[in-house]
Amino acid sequence: MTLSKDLLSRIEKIVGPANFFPAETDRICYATDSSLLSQMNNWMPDLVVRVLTSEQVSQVLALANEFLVPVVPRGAGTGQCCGAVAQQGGIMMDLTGMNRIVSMDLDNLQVTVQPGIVHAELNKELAGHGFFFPPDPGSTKMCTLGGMVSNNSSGQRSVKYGTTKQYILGLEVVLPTGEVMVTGGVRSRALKSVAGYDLTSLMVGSEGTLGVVTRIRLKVLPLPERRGLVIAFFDQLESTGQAVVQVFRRRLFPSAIEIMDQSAIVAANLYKPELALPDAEAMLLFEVDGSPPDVAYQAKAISEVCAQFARKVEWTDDPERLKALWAARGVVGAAAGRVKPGATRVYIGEDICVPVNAVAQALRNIRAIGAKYNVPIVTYGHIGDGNLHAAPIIDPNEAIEIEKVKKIADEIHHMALDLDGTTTGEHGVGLARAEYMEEELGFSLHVMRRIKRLLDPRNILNPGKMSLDDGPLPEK
Amino acid sequence: MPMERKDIDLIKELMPCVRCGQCRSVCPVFHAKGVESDAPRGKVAIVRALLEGKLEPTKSLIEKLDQCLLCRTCVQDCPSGVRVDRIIIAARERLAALRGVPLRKKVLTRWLMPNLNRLQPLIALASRIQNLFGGKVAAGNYRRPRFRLPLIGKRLLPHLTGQTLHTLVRKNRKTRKGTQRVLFFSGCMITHVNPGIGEAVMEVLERNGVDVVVPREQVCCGLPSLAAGDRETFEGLRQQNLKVLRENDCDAIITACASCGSTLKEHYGPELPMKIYDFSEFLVDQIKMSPPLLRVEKTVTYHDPCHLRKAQKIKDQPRSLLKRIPGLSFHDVKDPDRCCGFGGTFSLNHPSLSQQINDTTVKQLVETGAELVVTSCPGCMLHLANGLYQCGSKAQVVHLAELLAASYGPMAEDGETE
Repeated sequence: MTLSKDLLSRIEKIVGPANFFPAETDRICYATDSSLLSQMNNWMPDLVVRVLTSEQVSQVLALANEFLVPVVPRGAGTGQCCGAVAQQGGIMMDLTGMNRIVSMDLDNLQVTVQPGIVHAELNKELAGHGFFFPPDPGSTKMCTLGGMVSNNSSGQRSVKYGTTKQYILGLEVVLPTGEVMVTGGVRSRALKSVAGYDLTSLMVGSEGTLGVVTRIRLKVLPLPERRGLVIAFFDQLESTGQAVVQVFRRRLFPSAIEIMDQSAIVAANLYKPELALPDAEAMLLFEVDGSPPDVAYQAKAISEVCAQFARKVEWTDDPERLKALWAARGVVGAAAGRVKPGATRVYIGEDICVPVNAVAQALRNIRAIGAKYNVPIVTYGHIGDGNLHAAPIIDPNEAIEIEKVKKIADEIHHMALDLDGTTTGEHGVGLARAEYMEEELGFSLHVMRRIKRLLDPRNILNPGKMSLDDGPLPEK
Repeated sequence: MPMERKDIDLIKELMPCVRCGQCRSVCPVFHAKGVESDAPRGKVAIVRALLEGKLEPTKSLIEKLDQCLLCRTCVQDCPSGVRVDRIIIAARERLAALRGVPLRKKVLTRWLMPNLNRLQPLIALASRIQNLFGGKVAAGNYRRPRFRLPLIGKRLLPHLTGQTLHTLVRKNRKTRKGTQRVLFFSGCMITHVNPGIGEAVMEVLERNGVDVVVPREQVCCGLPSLAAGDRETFEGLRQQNLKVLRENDCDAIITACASCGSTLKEHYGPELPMKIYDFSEFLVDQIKMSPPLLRVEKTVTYHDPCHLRKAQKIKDQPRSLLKRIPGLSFHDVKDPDRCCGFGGTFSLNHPSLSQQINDTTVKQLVETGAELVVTSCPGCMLHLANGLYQCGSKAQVVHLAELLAASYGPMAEDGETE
């Protein structure tokens, strides 16, 4: 797609020359996210702009509507579903310059932020005041709040604290037409409201297809005084599921329950050898939080439960060890490639979520699929809510390996649906999982398409994603 | 751009990058500039596109790849173990082969740095007329240009004593009989600009029963050439230094410049005739040190040079040495991974960016309340001294060896502390 000189000069006037990037050297850097799909296709946008105000966003979108040019909003580009790439060309809108905390109203348990703020930066600031924003993706150090809202991200602590949507009190959103909407009440500072349709929830997880989020009113919580971690090593995969079920039955409520299979343990040790994790079929990490006596009580109780099933159990509340273990867990996905020298981890079929009591079965199935295609798959994830991240390790320069891994992903996705799960627990649909939406969503996909057409009549905002463009509307 | 064998090797270096973006959270250049093409992940994408023929080696592309400090903060943090530094150096070599090394870099890395021994009379001359160009500041160790100088602007310059380490060694050193004999690879800055650091290194080593040899024929370690993509000049320097190292039979090589140390350790390979240690590493890990006894009643902090902390994985030894000095009050910085922004020729080619990065680092150093900022790299010293001066701080920058030497006190003729 070639953008007209008229359009280019008008956009440059809006964002200013310092935030206007027509050069290929800049544009190529926005052609991918983490997904294999984006790596294979390298869809380069025709223009990159950095926006700094919601007025600029609005003006750019209005122009894009006038000129019928696609616009793709993007945060840090850490996504894994090929959501923030310009498959149809057009304008890439980089929102990371809008990275301020607009206001902190901690008496009312809320803060308002711009979408480009990095998750870890926000939590660092909040921690200074004794608060935190609980959803915690592994990409905390680099992902932005705007991206988290758009993908309804979560992470390790979702078992206790839920996902991003539970914390979004209101949004300022620029609609594809350039109109600006505030959801959750234009002046509201209330912690709950049932006034009108819940447009906040409609926008959360809409992956930049319905509007560009320019301001976020977030609920925050008091930071727990202490955290502790129980680490249990298992010889049998099934035992991990049994341990989790028994922990809940014992009326214990960990803030996170994570699983790393044997290959993920190897990857973590390769990334941080000082962790010195022992070899095991699988490892569970239970995080507990609260007051110091409560943490000690819960950790001890969880250790007792795990001891019935695990080969080895230990617990720590040493902040340094906690930090190191969580850091290794957080990046085990990206570090997975270390298990096979000369190969790399690819992001495809990486985000299924199944019922908790089907996790062990899903893990076995993933192993079998890997064995069938002779591709190592490192698996880890949030066993507490059934969300598993499978990481196939391949040489992406080999066409045959690419073909194999596509089949692997397809089988993993269908396996998740067969186990009454979903193809994506927290990473999003984008292009990577669009083909499964008919099967997974049924008629509701068609309702989504109607909503998309209503809000974005000229289909300029992140077109082609989430299967929203495909297929006719069903007849009455 | 047609592919060569070297390009295929480079693609293998690129391959582990899963584009997770973790490097965005630590890269000082990205933090200062804020656009994806300034982040290591962006630069990796640019190199890949260049090799695949999707991008041409335009001026803006060359500029982007030039804006990397090679500080390795991203490498240290990369979950996939991507060696961004190697990728950038290889890409610069490829671009130099296509477009030639830019003149400004050539003057420094091909003509000036390798020939400092021969140019010594000019340095001595410069020391005599330096007052015309800049007045002394910062306890007399630095000079502030009286007017804007080419490449330097108004940044602080080191005060030249007119001496080199070699002339000091000739004048002051006596033959001693230690239990070990080491070769001091002093590097350009210590030899020609800050010979006092070299003297301090030698004094501390000798005080611990280690004899020190400083070969006059040693030349630049070659890092500036390597970083400029000028492999040919680097190889010439490497061979010259290897010859010098082979000619001297010692127990070990000691460096007191983090950049020289990392270059020798990583790029001189198995041909190095003996083991090499950073000054602090040698003292802490290799010998039984006699304790420094004189009290130094100062509040200090330590700046980790990137080529020591990240390239050589040395961070505890300098702190351990500081804690052995009686009277010293040590306050660590909040974020010890921060680069000072110097990057050798980077600071000349991108002065304002270099200064911007420096400002953040200096702010943290000032926050410690230290009177002395201690470090282990003369390059960092110069850049930090400038940053501290520019922000009005009274804190002085010293090399770890200088502080240790002060605590050992002056040495008597018979080798005993006076």
